[in-house]
Parts: sequence; structure tokens; C-alpha cells
Amino acid sequence: MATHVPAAAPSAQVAPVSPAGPRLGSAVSGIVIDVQGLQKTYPDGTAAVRGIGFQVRRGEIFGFLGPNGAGKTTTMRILGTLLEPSAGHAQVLGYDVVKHAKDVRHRIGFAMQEIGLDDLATAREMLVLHGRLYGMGARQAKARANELLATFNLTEHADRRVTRFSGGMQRRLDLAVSLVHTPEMLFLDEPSTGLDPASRADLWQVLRRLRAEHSVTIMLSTHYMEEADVLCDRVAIMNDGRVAAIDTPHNLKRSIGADRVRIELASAISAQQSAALKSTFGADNVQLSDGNVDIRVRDGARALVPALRIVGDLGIQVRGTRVLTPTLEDVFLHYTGAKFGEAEKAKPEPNPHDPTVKHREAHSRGGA
Amino acid sequence: MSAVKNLWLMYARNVRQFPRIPIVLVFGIVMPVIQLILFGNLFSGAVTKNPTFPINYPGVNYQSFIVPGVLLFTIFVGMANSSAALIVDLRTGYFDKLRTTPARPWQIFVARMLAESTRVALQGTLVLLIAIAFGASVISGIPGAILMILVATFFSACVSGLGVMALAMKTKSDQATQSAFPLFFVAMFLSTAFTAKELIDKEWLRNVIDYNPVDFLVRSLRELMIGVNENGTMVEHYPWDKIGVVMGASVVGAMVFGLLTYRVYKSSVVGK
Repeated sequence: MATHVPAAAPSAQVAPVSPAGPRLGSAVSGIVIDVQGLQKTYPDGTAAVRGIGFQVRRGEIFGFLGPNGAGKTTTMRILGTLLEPSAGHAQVLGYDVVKHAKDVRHRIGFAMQEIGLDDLATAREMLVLHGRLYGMGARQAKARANELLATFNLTEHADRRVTRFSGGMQRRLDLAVSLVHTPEMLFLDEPSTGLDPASRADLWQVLRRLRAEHSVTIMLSTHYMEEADVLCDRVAIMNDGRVAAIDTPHNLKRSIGADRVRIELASAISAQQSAALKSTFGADNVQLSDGNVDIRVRDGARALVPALRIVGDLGIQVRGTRVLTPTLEDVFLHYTGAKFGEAEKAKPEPNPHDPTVKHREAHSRGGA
Repeated sequence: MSAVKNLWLMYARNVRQFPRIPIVLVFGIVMPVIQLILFGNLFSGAVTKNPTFPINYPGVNYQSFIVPGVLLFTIFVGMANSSAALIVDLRTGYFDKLRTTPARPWQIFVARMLAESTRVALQGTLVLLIAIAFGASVISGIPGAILMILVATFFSACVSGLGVMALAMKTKSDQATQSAFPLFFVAMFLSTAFTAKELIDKEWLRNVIDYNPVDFLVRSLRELMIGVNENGTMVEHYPWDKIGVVMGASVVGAMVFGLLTYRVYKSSVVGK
């Protein structure tokens, strides 16, 4: 797959990954995650991550976008020291995730896809326990628990068992637990899965506030296009264990093409009218389909009125108009060759013994 | 120092859970109490009225005779159920949440073992008190009773607890871990837990009993309970030789199952 490289790729600033000693230069230079040639093959032979490389800068909200089974969770779990890679290197905050896993764990928070809560504990008990595991004294841990309960609007539920919490409340508590030790970096694996739209919007608000007020770098995985588009500074598109593209959502969308002005026709157009349209806008920029004329333009909003005027001058009867801008869905299709929904239906983890996986690999466009 | 603190924090968390799942506490002693009452009344006459029983076990009542087996059943099967809480943590993702903290996996496992050992030891104590209320007596007194419970708990933690822990991590299934229950049940009935060896007619069964490690354990505990060994000889001191064998076997069991647990953890949880 062709990797779309951002214009401001910071690779030149990055210290080489070295097994020697913790806290290498990359964290200091502003790169908090540095991944090179990372691979993960599970003991059953499933190749979940097939050699990826990317970097994340301090203070970013970095998104992993891809369908189920793309390798997002496996990558996040390796970076969170929960899994060991089969090959390649990864540094988080300047520490190697295998050799200095303990140093990594002290500095990161991790909220997993499945909300990891102690069913038999209350919210306060969980927060205090985790505070103490991170080395706080009893009094300090209690104070921090109260602070987080207030931040996440859980104070009045502090002494209730977590099984009695709604999904949104459980997700907020999970996030609070992940933040108990004030981590520099937060990993969130599909944090909004199972949340209603209002809870999802609340979560986004909390994440933005964390970044703004505490400079927390956030890496999240999602299969919601909107979440990646609205929340993330940069997005890595993953499919079949590979990174297909990395850039800002805006640049990714721009990288695959221009806006389109869609003219919905009231009646069929003649061959002459079609030829005139192609002559005016360029043959490659005009596409006729299903009673619509799509005209590729640089800026859809600005081009709409002039385009409509030209179409009217040609005597074409118009029923309606729309400006279409590329979406991350289009980006996914462009870089992976598969529609997101189709990839989503694929089985959760790629299995190299499955012939359909080989078929998908054969049609992918290279590695990351 | 932080390892000890983490162990304590997680031990306290695990112990705090017990009153919140009273069914586990109650269910763990229902079967043993049924055994005490039912078997105590059903088989008492058949066993104690046999002329060889008073010769081999002078002055011993049947309740006292079966208590070691029932106690071992309480504690061994209780430890086999100890992975139920671990399975819940694995399924809910809380186990992984703990793994993202500075607490190390061995601390999580050891804290779980210690907490479950506390639970089964308390359940064993309760069963022993009920047995005493039904007429049993511990000839070695309170220290002997404590030693009985400690030996049974240590053996069960090393063999049943750790063995099932590996199975729990591999399968994340309650059913798989409960497979230890029928295995132990069979092993207990192929021992002298409920009857004296001399009263068993079948020679093959007596041979099986001779090689059944559960029977060795039951006899060791029984010496503490009734002060008579299997040859009908009064025992004046604690059977440290037998207890030593049991503890040694427990340590070997812990090493084998501990290694197995580590390997299963690496392959099933870390994906190595």
C-alpha cells in the first residue's frame, strides 16, 4: 500500500531506536511514539500486524482508523506493553516497550476496548487502589480519587458498585482510572464503542480538555470515521495489519482528489450538451451517471454558482445541486482498495491460512 | 518494598470481594456439611460396628474419622474454584487494566492465591467447628487443628489452585476449571476418607488406595485429628515426617504448575 507521507514528517529529528538504555532522544525531540518495522504474529499463526512504522508527536491526538481486524488493537496493546511484538521496535516516551516496559507503564494510561472495571468494587475503591499501585500514599490516593470523580461527574456515584453504572458512566470511570497517575500519554482503544451520541460528544470534550489543559498526548483507535475526522490531529489508516496512509484528516481527503459539484438532472441531457460540458470543464472532470452530472472542481463551495450558471446557459434542466467533498470513507477506499463497510465485515483478526486473506493481500497496494 | 505493597493492596482488594459474593462463601461449605451429616449418619453404624474398627481406631467416633477427608474436600475444591474471580477479571478486561499498572503479573497471581487461601482456610475452620458441634473432636487440640488446616490449604493452593489457574488462563471458562471437582471427588472415594481400609473387600481397591496420594494426605491429617495412625498405633507427636512429605510434594506441585501457569500466561495473555 502506498503510504501518504505528511509534508512535515519529523523523521529527521528522531533518534535511532536502540536497545541501549532507557529514555532515548526521541521523547525529548517531540516524538513520543516511534515505531519501526513492527510485526505481531500470534502463536496460532495469525499475522495481526505486518511491519508498520509511524511516529506520534507530543500533544497530538493521533487516531488509528480501520475496520475490525485491521491490527489497531494489537498495535495499541504492544505500545501499552500488554503484548510483545514478534519483530521490529517501538518506543513510547523514549522508552523501548519491551526492554523498559516498567518505565513505559509508569507514564501511560490505557483504556481498553472492553471497559476494564472491577465488577465487585465501587468507583472510589477502584480509583484509590490504582492510585496506590502507582505509588501514592493512602491520603494522596483518596484526594486524587475525589478530584477525578468530580472531573468526570461521578461524585454522587462514588460509592456505588460499578456494575450499576450506565455504559457512559463506566467509560468515564475507566478513563478516570487511566488518568489517576497523571500520565503523559493516553492510549484509548475504541473509546466510544457502545456509547450513545451524547456520551460520545462528552467523551470528545473530555479528551480535548485533557490535551488543552494537561498537554496529554492521546492515541486512540476507532472505526468511526466521524470520530477520526473531528477529533484527531492526524490519522493512520490501517487495513490488514498495515498502515495505508498517515496524515491530517484534511490532507488525507485532499490527497485523493478535489471536490465535486453534483448537478441532479431534471431531464436527460443531449450528446451536444455533454460534449459542451466536457469541453468547458475538461473531459476528465465531468462524469455522467444515474441522472447526475458530477463536475470535479478545486473548491466546491466557490465553484457551485459559476458551474450552475454554465449548466443553465447550456440549456440543461436542473432539479437540484450538491457539493461533495471527499470523506475519510473515500480515503479508505482509495488507499486500501476496499470499502470500509466490506472490510468491517471481515473476520476480527487476519488469518494467513485463510485464502480470502491472501486474496486481499494480493490486491493491496504495498506495505507501510 | 513496592512488590510487598502491591501484593498487600491486591490481597486486600481480593479479600474485600468475598462478602460481596456470599454465594461463594456459603456454597463452599454446603457440600462438606452435607457430607458430615449425611455420611456421618449413613455409614457410621456400618463402619464403627465392624469388629476391626475399634481395634484399629480405639475410642474414635465416626465423625472424627471422616473430618480430615471432609476438611480436605472443603479446602481442595474451594481452591479449585479460586480461579472463578480470575476468570471474571480476564473476561471483563480488568486483568489487563491491572497489567498496565506497575503491579506485575506474579504479584496479581500471588495476591489472588493468598486471598483464596484465606477464604478456604476460613471455610475449613467453619466446617471443623460444625463437625465438633456434631460430636467430632481434635485430639491434638487447637494447634493441631490449625496445623491440619494450614497443611490442607498449602497443598490445595500449590496443586489445585495453581493447576486450575493455568487452565483458567488458557480457557477463560468456569466449566473447564470445575473439571477438577469430579476428579478430586473420585480420588477421595478411592481413599480411606470415609471408611477404613480393612473394611474394603476388593483387593484392587485396596491397591488403588495404597497408591492414591489423596489417601496419604487424608491419613496424615487424620493422625492430627484422632491421634491414631493407620496401624492402630497411638501417635504421641505430630506426624512431622508425613507432613514433610506432603509439604515437599506441595512445593514440587507448585513448581510444576507455577511453570505451567507462566507458560500459559506467556502464550495466552502476552501472545509470546
